[in-house]
Amino acid sequence: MTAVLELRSTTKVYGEGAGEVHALRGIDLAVDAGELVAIMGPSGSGKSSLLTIAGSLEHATSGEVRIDGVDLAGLSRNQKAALRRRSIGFVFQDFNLLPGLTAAENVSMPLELDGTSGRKARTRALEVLDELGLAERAEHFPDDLSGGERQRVAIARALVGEGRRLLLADEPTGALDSVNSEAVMRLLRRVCAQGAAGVVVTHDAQLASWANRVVFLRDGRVVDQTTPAAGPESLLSTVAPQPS
Amino acid sequence: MFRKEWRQQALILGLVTIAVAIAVAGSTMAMNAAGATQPGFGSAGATARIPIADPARVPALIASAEARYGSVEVIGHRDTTVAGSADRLDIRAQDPDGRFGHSMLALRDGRYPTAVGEVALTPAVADLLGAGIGDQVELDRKDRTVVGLVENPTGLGDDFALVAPDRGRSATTLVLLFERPGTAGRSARGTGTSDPRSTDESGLASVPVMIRGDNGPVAALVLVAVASAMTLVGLIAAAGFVVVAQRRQRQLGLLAAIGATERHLRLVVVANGAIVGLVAAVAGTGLGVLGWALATPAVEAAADRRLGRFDLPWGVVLGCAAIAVVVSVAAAWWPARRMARIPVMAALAGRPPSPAPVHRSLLVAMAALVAGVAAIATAIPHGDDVKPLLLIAGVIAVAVGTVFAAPAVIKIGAAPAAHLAFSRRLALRDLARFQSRSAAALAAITFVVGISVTIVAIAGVNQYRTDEGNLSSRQLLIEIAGPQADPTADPGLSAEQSAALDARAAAIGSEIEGADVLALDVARRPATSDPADPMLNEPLSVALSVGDHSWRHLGYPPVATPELLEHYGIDPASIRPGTELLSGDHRDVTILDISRRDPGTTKVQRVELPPYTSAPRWLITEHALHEHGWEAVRSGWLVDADHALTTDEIASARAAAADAGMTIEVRSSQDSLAALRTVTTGAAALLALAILAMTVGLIRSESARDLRTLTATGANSRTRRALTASTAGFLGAMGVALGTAGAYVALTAGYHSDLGRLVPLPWAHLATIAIGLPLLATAAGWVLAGREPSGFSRQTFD
Amino acid sequence: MSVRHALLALLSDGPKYGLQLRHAFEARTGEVWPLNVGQVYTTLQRLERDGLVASDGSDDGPQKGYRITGDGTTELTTWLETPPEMAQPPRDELLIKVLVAAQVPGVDVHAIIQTHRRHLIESMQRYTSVKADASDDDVALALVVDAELFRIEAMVRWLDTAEIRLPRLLASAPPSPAPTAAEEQVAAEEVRS
Repeated sequence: MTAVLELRSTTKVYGEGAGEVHALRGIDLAVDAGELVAIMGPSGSGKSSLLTIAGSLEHATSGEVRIDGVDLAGLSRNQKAALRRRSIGFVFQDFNLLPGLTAAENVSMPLELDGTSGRKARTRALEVLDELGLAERAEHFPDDLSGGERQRVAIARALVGEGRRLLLADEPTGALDSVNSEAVMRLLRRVCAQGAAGVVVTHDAQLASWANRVVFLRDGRVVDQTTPAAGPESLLSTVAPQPS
Repeated sequence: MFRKEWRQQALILGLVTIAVAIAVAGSTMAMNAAGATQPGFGSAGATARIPIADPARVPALIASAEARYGSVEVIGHRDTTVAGSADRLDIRAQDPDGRFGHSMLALRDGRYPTAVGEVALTPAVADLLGAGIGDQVELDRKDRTVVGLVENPTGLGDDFALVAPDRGRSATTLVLLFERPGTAGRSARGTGTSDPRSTDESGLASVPVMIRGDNGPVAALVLVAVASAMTLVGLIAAAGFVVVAQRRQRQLGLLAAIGATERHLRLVVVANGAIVGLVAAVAGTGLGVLGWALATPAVEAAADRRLGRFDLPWGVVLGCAAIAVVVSVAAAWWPARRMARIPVMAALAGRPPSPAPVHRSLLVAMAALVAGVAAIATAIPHGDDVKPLLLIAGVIAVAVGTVFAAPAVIKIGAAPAAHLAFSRRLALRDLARFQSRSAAALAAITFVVGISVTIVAIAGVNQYRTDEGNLSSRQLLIEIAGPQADPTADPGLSAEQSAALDARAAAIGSEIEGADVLALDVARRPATSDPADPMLNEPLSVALSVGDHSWRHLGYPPVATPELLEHYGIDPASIRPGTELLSGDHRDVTILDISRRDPGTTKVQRVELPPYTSAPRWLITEHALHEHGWEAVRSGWLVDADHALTTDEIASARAAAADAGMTIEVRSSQDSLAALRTVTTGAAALLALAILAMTVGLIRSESARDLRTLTATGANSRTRRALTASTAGFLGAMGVALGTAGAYVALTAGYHSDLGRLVPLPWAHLATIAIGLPLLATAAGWVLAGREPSGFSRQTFD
Repeated sequence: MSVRHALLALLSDGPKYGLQLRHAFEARTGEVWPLNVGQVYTTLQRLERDGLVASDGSDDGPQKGYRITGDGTTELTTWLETPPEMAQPPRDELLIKVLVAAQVPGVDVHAIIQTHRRHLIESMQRYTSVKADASDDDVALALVVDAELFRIEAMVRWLDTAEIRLPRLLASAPPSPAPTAAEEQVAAEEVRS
């Protein structure tokens, strides 16, 4: 099985000369379908750049970025936009939604941009919103929604449509309390379990622990990663509580 | 703060500067043009021409005039012939520093004559005499030294030889310049002279006084134009500052959070307004003055008069600048107040203030529109006699009305958003969401469109209809003297000359199929044998009484020959006995015979005459001719064909007339008014586009984060282009609709007494604005937008 | 949480058999707190010895019935109100390991820290998947898992902070007194634990 997202020796350099900043220094990373990967690292470790490059919003300076085996370097701007409309779902920390559109319209946006008829796109959007427990909020504008609801609408938008292969989230629970955060991560995990590949960028260990695999980034390099977790039984052997 | 927003600030500054510059240059031009309509007056309010038969009477005459009219400037004209030529020449004795007439003299070279035997010539006269400075010329049988070259800046075609002022001692005609009677004249009467007319033996009382035409309408128009330009400044600045204030919303919220009061917050934006206003006022004034200075030569050539480059109406100019500052501050104050009142948390979150209820602003709009319409209707009762302040108030009220109508229009216009395609829907929703800034933008565009539609419509009203103008398109007027020539200089024709010219005119007429050639004669008193009294050979003119013993000259009426009466379908039997003048003019006109002691008692009968200004509007009856012993003198021919004259016919007639030393006049095409319409349409489109660029640029740049979200969701450049294009197109279309509606509301009010004048509507120009502007706006939005937002990881995620 | 008090709490709403108690205990605390069968019964015996519970006296084992006594109720109430011991320094072992690593030449402290971080996060992943797989209304389980997750997260964050502070320690400490100070600290920790 090919990985949904694959980065090979990817580097990213911002600026030139003295102001040169090496955000990524040769990243190798593969994310398979059904897998949720968390990228952890301190500020400035390059994790956000990794996400934008994986999402085709920025070019890698060198190396390859492949989505479903297709090298992004070979795509035109419009092809990349089409890729984002159909295959990639983004969830950002705080500005996900267009304030001028209702929740349902925000969710149906990628479909409408892709040429789906308004009514059809709306039906799909309502389905996804219903699935996320937001059916009643569909006609509300973002300003009237709570933070958790907004984030769930954003996830709904990242999920809408049939061909979603890659979910990219940047601190998706940044502004939420822990219960709402958990709901959001539970959702992401579920979606990935159903066959998408997910990448969550965070510096929050709790969030990262929802992932199947945690990749540690430091100074633009992958320094470590967790081995895929065994089942809960292993808890008994590793972290035994101390009965008093 | 300024550094970060220099683009926005530069846009606002640029547009306000342009508006100020237009106001300054426009008012300067209008004020100068106003002066051009009144040649021969200088700065005097009234003038009188007195033929001098007896030079000994002159001192008494002047003394009498001074007693009657106060301070009087005397210009002596001596009509003479140039030796060895048939040309006549005016030898003028005028003081270059005269109180009223100084503006009618300017030195081109050398110096003014100060002593007897010195003379200064206009360039054309110098050419005619073949003389330069320092040369000796013989004029009026006297040798004189040319000491300078002069001109009349208010009439560059005025040719004369200037001699030192001599209080009229050698004049054949005396021109007196003085204040309008009733102003200075009243004070002069107060000096103790009893009724000057009864004691006057100089004959002054019988001399008609020509009153300078009123500059009121022009001044009023300038005021209205300046007020409109300043309203535009205010609207542009308001549109800009609303957006700037909103961009600063978070900053202001932050300031509020750390304890700034509403006053502090207002001050931040208002100070911005003051700075922009000041800079724009200075730059705009500079630009306007510069523009005027550059345009002067072209205007001079067109106006046939010298214009001072720095002869500016400084009061108006400085007023413009001052108002621009005040208006900018006011324009910044309003959004500042609104921003300062947003709850701190909403400000920090960047949420727009909740839109004010539309019905309230709609009520204000209706009230302002009604008040404005009423004010305009009252200010323009019957075309004449405009009340400028009321008109300005009306124009501003209508503008205010459209401004307040803007939110409602946006709300209504954006209502179908839900049914539109994605980018259009998003554009409309954003416009409706940020109501105050889109309403301000719409108001500015509306006002520009409104002004241009008004100008186009008024130009249409003033354009001749088929039954108006100087002549019908079927008519041709052949004149013996050129149209600019002074009839007083009419040499008089011998019978042979007259017959030869008659034959020529008939020949010209015969070239044109189906044309009648009607001889036109003017009436004048019998030629005197006294060569020193040429003034009395002046044709009898028709004048309008404008008060006590004062008239405004209207024209020289032809004699009502049987041919003419027949041509105009007037039955000679219908003319009442004793009628002296047949008038197609509804005004109270009279035949002005300056030799009569009491000239204002003409017996007038109203008849139907076509209203063409160069064709006969009045006819002197043959009865009057006999009664007063006047004689008829051939002045020209009216050629009336049965079809509209072709350009070929006109060209050959012009050539034939020129051969005979005559000129022809045909219907003027009024290209300039048509050009005005077109230029206005184009200028309005450009200005509206600039405003659109500013506001749409500001609106869309503000939603840069939305653009990033869109891009991340897979929107391509098409979507981004469509978004900007829809925003611009919608604002343009709404502005056109609202502006055209507002303009026609105001026009209907202004022409309420004669609504028919607004018809036919200038469809071509209206359509150009109505379709062209939104299309252009959409296209410009499409072309200029679409750049992919940059700096994703830096700004978006970190 | 002690097994003693957990059993008292289970008995406070009515008498139960030994087997019942064991199932209830597991149900409330989840799989994350594994007990062997013997632990439940020895604890029950001790409680009976101390007079906090009373048995129905039948044979030892799963079928024996227990009920709480008056002393037992008092003990439970007192325990619930007693603040937990907070004075104990967290995870002495990790602290000591990191401090030692900082002093041992040739050892990459960052690598050591990262290894520990990875281990901690791996265990968090396991706890989280327990939570993820459990049903939403299993509040008791969620609470227990959360407690453990927050505790481990605290250690991860301590590691993050240590990673930032350590270069400063290494840079500022003069070569000779540093080991002494570290030794003293290590000694102190050992004494306390």
